[in-house]
Amino acid sequence: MDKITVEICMGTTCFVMGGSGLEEFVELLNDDEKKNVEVKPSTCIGLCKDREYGKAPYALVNGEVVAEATISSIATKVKNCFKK
Amino acid sequence: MKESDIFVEVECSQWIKNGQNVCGDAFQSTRLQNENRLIATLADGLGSGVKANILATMTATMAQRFSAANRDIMKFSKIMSDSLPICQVRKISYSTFTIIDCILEESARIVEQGNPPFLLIRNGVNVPIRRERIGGEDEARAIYAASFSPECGDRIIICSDGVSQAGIGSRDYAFGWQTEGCRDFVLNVLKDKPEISARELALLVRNAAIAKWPDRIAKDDISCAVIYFRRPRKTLVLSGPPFDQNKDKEYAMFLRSHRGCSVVCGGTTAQIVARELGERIDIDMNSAGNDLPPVSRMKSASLVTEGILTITRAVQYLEKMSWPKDDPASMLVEYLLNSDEIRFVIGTKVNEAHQDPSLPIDLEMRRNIVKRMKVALEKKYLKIVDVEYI
Repeated sequence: MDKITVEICMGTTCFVMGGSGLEEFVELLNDDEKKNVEVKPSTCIGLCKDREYGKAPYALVNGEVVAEATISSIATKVKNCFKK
Repeated sequence: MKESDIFVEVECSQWIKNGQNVCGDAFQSTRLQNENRLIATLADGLGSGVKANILATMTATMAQRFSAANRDIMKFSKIMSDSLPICQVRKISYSTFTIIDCILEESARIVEQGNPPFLLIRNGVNVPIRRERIGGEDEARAIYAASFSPECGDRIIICSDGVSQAGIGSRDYAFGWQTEGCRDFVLNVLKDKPEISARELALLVRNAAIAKWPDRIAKDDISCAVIYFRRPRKTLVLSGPPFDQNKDKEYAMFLRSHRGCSVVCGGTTAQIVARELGERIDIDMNSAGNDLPPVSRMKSASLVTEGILTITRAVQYLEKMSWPKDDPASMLVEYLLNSDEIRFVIGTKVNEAHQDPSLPIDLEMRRNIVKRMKVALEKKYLKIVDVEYI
């Protein structure tokens, strides 16, 4: 299992749009998955300035943008990455 | 001593005699900026409660004003004593006082009547200063004066007799704590904390005096004032990206060249600074609290916070004069209040994402909120604040 990196934006826009607490997506992973995920909180990723990425809050799962991120949408994305 | 090199921190801590509602001691201090001068008075009114408070407040107010007007001490001490209302019980009017009149680059003159003698602490030792009797009808009303040149690091400690007589008549302190007891206590504190603030030291002395009374029931008003001559604590706050991207480097270099504490408020701001200075940002996830994003760490900054939400909350705390422990905005407040001079450098680039009407809350404009912060810091906390825009 390759390690998956999840960056969670802690910028102002993401924070007020519900980004706080997104790191808790790991609770939805199984033990193997948990061991292979690295969660990196980040200062503003800068995606909120550009409409093409959809709406805040944002996370990056292995560099891929998850817009309007929720705990479950990040967890689903991570699980999909493991399946690849 | 040069004006710009020295900041004088003045703080007084008081405790009210058990059973009373107001303190019978009064402390006042004034900075005469144009004359580079500081005047402070501690007065202790006869008796306790409201009556003593009136005597002490009148005495301190008059002493401050007469001193500022450069009136002769012998003349105005008589005017003060003649002006005080006469106690119906004791048939006398009386309030002791200590007046400190200090011209910052030159001299300090201390005039005392009736209060315990002041302490001058320099380089961790008590320096005795010759006190000359300059008047007074009898020993009880003798007026003493002392002069010296303050040096950076000096502390002057003045107390009411509620400190020197703390615990008097008790088993452990039959004659009270005494000035010597207070002096030794201060010297011990300074051994452990040579940089202790005037505020904290005054509070420690006051608390130690209270503790001398059995069951901490103080039988007199207690006041301790500390005047601390020290290097100014300067803090730099950077917030917001510069309007012109070409100024990013210059902006970041403010942080490098600043001597003292520095705070970066804003994620994008932190990224700009980190990029220009070749540093990394580490977010401390344990520091989030009270609905605020967490703080980060960066080598060149003492504190890195999120921008507008944290600053807005910090302004609310400063205006209310109350804040919880350890949330990111409280951390910012503590840094600001531990400073004497604060310089804000505010980037004026507007964050378009913050103007989105679909955001669930209104985000204040950075410039407006910093203006509010400047007013609060200047008016409520007497800080020297400078705001510039880039």
